[in-house]
Amino acid sequence: MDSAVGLVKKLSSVRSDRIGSEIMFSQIGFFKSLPFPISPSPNEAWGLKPVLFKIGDFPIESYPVMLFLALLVGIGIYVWQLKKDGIKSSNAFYIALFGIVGGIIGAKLPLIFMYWNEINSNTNSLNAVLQGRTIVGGLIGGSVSILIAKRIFNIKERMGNQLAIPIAVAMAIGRVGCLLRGCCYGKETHIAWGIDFGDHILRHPTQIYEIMFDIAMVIYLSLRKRKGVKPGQLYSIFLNGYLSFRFLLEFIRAEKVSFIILTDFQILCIVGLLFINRKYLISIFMRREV
Amino acid sequence: MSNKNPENQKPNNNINEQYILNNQDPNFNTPPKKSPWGEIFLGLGLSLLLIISMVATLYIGKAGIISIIMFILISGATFLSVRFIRRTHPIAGKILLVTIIPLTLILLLFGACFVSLGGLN
Repeated sequence: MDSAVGLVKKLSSVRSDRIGSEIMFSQIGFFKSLPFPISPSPNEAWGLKPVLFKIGDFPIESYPVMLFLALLVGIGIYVWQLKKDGIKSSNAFYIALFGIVGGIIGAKLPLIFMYWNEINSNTNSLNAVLQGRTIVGGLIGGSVSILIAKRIFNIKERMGNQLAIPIAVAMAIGRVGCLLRGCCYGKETHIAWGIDFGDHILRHPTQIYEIMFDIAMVIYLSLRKRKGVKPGQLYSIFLNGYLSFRFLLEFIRAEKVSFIILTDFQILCIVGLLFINRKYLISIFMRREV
Repeated sequence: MSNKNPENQKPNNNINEQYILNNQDPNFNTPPKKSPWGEIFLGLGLSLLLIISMVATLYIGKAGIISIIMFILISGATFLSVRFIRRTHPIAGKILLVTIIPLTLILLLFGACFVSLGGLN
């Protein structure tokens, strides 16, 4: 999911690989040809299994398959949770819709600003437009989008308890895609479970660490839900847990340090944590002032 | 005394009123049915406008700017469609929503995958 390193790699490959590129629309016909080179075929030497199987010469990549599966399973569990809790309001659909759209936009927006110069120096690259997304930005974007939509459309329902488990499951499936494709990996290590993604260097399998965390989170959230929770509380617990875990995980991930010892994603995690706990922080601040 | 008790009810001797009540048109108080075609065309028009704006954006050439304009278009169209569905034009809103969802998924979620598959060639 977080493919910042992959994005930089692909951007540099696009830069050097313009000659072998192809054009989206033909010059003949209604459309003027789009000036977009597209680099075909995935790098099969990188990652555990970037291509699941081939239909003729057409490769079916593991990452999009897992991403699609994550979306389907996530929506399926959300619908199941709604049925189980007896929620029939159409607002549940709108909350999920804004969560998905806001999440998708939020997932890409930070990477565009982080790699603004690289992306824009690759003029006319469709890959630069389409590549790269981060789950931290996705979670923040989804939350902000739902909050805005609730204000605009005057939606009072809180679906956080129904959303938390599907998101955790979807993230675990998405990370399987990252593991197979070989993105979002960790720093060099000599531990027994280090994985070689194709450059003959053993690395921390940070994707597996995250999958384990997501599974643990699903179990904890399910148990917590059975005991009874306040409306929307599970989502808040999940976000706090994930962003804190991710902040720590970044120290062993291969990401560029941008501020003192912090990576861009750690800064995003801090922003996310401040945003989620804003009411609590404001209440503390107000109490002190009184 | 309850008004529901039949003994307390006065018989209606006004013949004109009785005639009107008996022969009232069943659709008397319901508003006239509006043709859905206006909304269908509105939905299709907005969807077409969205697609044309997206294709036009691709010609800008700067990838970062293209992405940001795409985000604005998609988020704006989503809010507009939900506003339509909930308030004024439900059919137009649904048509717009049906256009937005696959565009969002292809462009922002699976886009890179399609490119690397060579699917846009």
